Amino acid sequence: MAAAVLLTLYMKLFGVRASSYLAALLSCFVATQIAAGQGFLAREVAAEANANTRYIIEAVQITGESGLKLSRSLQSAFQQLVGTHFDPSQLDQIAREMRKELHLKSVTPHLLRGSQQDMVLIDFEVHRKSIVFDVTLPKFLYHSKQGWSAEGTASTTIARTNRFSFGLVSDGGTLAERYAGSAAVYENTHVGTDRVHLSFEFDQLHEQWNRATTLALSSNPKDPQTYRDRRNFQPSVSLMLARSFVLQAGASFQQMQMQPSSFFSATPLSADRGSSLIQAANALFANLRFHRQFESALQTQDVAVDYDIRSASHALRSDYTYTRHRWDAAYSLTRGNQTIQDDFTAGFISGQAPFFERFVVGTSSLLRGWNRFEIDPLGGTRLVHNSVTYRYRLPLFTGQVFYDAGSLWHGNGDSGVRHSLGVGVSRSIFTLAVAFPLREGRVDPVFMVGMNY
Amino acid sequence: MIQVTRRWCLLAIAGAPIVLGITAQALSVRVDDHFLRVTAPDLDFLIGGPLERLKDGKTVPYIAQLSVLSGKERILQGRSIARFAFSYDIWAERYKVTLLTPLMEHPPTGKNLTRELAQAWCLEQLKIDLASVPADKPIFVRLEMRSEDPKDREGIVGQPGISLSAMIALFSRPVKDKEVHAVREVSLNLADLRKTRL
Repeated sequence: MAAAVLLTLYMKLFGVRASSYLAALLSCFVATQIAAGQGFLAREVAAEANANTRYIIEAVQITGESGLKLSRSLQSAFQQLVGTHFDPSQLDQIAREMRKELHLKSVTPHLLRGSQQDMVLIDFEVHRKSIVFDVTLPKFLYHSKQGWSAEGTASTTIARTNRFSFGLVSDGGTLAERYAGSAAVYENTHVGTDRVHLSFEFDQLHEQWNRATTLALSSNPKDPQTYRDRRNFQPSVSLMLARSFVLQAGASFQQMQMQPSSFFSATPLSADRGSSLIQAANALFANLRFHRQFESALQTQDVAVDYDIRSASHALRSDYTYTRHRWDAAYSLTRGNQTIQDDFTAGFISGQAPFFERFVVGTSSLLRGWNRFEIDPLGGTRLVHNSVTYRYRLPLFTGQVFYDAGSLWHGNGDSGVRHSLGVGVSRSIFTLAVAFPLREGRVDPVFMVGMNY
Repeated sequence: MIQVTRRWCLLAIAGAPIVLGITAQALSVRVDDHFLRVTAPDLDFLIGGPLERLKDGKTVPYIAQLSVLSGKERILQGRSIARFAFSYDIWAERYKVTLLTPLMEHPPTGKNLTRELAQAWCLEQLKIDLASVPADKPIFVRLEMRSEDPKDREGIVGQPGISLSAMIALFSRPVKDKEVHAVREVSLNLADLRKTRL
């Protein structure tokens, strides 16, 4: 391929005729295919040269480390090995994948005698790195109405259980405001047992408000005030209750630097709040997650349920008193190349919550295609949303069609149910989608491109 | 009776490594029809990292080079290079060796061999045409056996067939940790060797 590219460049530079170019390209292709064929022959000979290829794999095991979380593809590769003839090149391939996926220092496949003659065991001896350094980009998105959103994290794991991470974020599509800043997290992944994790997070964020939000706020003085900076200190503990259940509980101490221009709003929170430049929203929170996959020969079902509750009160020295509930449920069914997925989200806030707790739709995941500042620039306290997505996997990419329906309102109002439709293509974690709000009048599509959104 | 003096002891201690070294470097050369072949009964190259990989069920390639050199400048007169794939049967506890060549559909293979026989089988595949060996002057016969690092394999096998130039280049690279590079060399005269044969 490299030869073909170089040849293309050379011919472009020196003006070789198109027919010569095509002939040269074809010969390059043939040469590449012959070379590939001979490489394959060499691999075949190498496999044939192994004296153990006549033995059947009885079982596959991992030794050396505990608590490794294997991905679905690796689990499937292990299952496919059992019952097949031993192939050393196949083991090397799996060992490479394990090392890459699990960030391991080494993965050495050993061949052991099985329980009976002509049967063998595969033992992957693994060793973790003493210090792991990793840089990830969990989110990267361009939304034609909301601009860029991105998140990057650098993390290091020391002595297997101590994970330190530092992240930068700029997100204009999740909350009522755009926020940008940094997050530092320390996590201990083994507090007596692998089932208990302890973490401390510190966030420093700067906020920017859309003009639509500030205008709406001036006509709704009862709504909370805007802030320009936010600090969050959040200790939490996670318990792996069972294979599929995780409970996380902790406290969130948020301190907000209020915007002086918004002091005109007369919020009935506390007597001295109107004159305070610093306000606190301290809350206790708990989150229960369930995730399970059911696999059969014909289909795979995936179920994920998430319940989140946050409660702030004066007892925690909070200026805001509220309780926020959020439910998320997702179900997907994959059969062959086709997947149908349903995502349901509901939320409810009682009391007076700050803006960052409010629900927003018209984002890259809820009511895609709508402009969130058109629906409610201040966010809502009640939310119901459902999304149905159909995907079809093609050799090069996956095509998808989705339909979103949802409603966002406040306790005393009703914003009505909105609908949107969209199509997209994705490959690996990258997705390109276009979504249309279903309404009368002009069609104003929204384009989204990015990863993990 | 030899009197064991202090000087004798010192000479014996100083000379011991030299004697052992000469013994360890032993390489037997013989003329077989029109070819020069070698045997090295004391050469054990199935050791260290490659042996560990073999016991793990892997196929371990070795590259062998037999060369004839002459003169003080050691000018290359003839060379035979071959690539072998070793494997170890974990149930039978025997070795299998295959001469890797892209030109043959069923390459020569030695099966169910003990460790010594597997190594001897390899050397048996190396031969140099006598036509390329000067008959009237002293020559050096050199045998090199080197295990192939799994990372080196791409460069050797990835090209169409097996790259001879990559195999030759491999011998000039430093030996990586746990890899094996065994060398045996002997000086002789072809005419003397022929007389011995007669």
